Amino acid sequence: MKDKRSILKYFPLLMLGMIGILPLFMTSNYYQTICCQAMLYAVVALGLNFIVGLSGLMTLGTAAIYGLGAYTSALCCTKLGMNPWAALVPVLFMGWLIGKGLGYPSLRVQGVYLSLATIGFNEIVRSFLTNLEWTGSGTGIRNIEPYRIGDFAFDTQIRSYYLIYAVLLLFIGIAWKIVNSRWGRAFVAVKDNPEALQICGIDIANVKITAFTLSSVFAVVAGAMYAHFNRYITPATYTTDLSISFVVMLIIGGLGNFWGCIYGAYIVAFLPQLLRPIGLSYKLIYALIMMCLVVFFPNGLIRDMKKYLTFKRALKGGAASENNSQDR
Amino acid sequence: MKTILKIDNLTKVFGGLEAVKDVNIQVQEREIHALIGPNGAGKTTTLSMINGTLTPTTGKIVFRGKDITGCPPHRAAAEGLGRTFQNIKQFGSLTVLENLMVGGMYHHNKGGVLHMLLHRKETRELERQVREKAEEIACKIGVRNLCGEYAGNLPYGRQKVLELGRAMMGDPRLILLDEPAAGLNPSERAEFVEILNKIYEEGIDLFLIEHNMDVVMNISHKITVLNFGRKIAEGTPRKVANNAAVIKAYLGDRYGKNDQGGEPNAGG
Repeated sequence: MKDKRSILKYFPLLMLGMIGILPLFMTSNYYQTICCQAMLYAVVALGLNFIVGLSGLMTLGTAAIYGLGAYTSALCCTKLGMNPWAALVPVLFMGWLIGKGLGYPSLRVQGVYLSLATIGFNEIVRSFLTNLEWTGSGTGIRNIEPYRIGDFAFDTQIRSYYLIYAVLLLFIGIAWKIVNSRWGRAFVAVKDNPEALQICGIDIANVKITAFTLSSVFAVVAGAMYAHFNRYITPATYTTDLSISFVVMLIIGGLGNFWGCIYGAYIVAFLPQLLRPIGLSYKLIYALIMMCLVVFFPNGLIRDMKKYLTFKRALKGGAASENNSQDR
Repeated sequence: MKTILKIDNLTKVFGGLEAVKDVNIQVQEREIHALIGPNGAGKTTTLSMINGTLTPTTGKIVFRGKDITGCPPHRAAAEGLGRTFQNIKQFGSLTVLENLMVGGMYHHNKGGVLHMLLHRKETRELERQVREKAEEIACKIGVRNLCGEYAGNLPYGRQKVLELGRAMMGDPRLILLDEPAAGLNPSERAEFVEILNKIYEEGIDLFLIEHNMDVVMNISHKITVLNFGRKIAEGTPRKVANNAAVIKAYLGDRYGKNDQGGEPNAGG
């Protein structure tokens, strides 16, 4: 077991390194665009991990938060003439506001009802964005200026790629710190046993709202990055479908599994594109692959791969706690 | 002697059922106080009202001179009121050490997430403190060698001990224990009583519900007996064991006639 463990220990670094050099192999603009999207999805997934993965609350309104981030930033730049960097301030405020606003209902509404309520939130936001005149209605917002430092504009795919890569690394750092802190433990405790957390002197309302706030801050920043990278946003992007995709990323990577968020995001972003040459039935194949992943790798691709690899050893004894172990 | 917990005319009505009716209990400082009674007597309901999980219909609860009636559980815990549950409630996907560290989060927490991220030195210091304390308590309750194990994988007896350890992490003045010995085998039970005595000697008072009479008679200084939501007797273990009403409602003949109750532990 030792040898395999030690290789897997370096898996996160390997993965981040690979993401870093990926554009050298993928020179086509198209694939680089998908890569950028995958990295932004990974940031959203890392945030969503606090709610769905750690705290165990199923929310399906993430696409709306991602969209509100994009629209806030885009509107601040096009209507108010703000610098894209400066627009991050209202974006962060927006994230904080949504987090509080969604966090409070989550205290009263539980389980599948919370999922329904958040789907409702998603649809409300989407229909507002589609119908309001000043958000550009159905056509969305065009000609959003890119981020720039001095004269250097992040306007090509490759430049955006490394800007987003830096943002991804930053958010991985932040998320890692939080997951391995007292708050990370509190989030897991909320999932495992809220009553027991209360008698430890912790207000579970505060913990849940914190999880929601963190998650929406991650999502709005990713949304804003998307707006300035794509330079064109339309409300049709922010559907409940996308919200579900975010949750699927977490499930593919294993709920509560930190690094799973990242490769989960890549799989969800890339798989449909890779399957597209198949033709009309590609969505069917995609769905079948997803089903297989969920059935055979319910705890996440890598984590269960470990289990299959060590299966023989487990049969011989030892590794008794393998099935319940969770590496966050 | 000072009163640490004072319960005045506590009543809880569920629909038409009076689960607890006009109960008065005074828990003195430096005393192990037991609450006994047949099933459905309202013991756990009483405990839940004290710790804030349930709101009393009427009545008043004063803890260390402060009225905590209707306080939410996390506020009561912050006042120094620990609790364990009858059916174990731990954090199964956290390790033993992490379980204990969550127990100490209240005292080793400062500000929100942003504050934590911005004050890295302070965060590291708080983390070190809470880890040290958790290790110390793990030694005390005898789970030191299990620190890295997931709490959900522990045997039942260890989980009960862990829950007690988690309650201790909050620096409580009084711990409410709901049937701590239930489901433990005789050797585990003996070990648990030993730990309880150790905790008591450290200056933490105990208020426990227990069905196991050997434990109750041996450990407690004072016993309150409930039946159908009402208090029917109170006093030293010997006095209670000989009380006709208690024998009829709960104990049966054994403890009354033969007087096997014995003296309470004269600790403290």
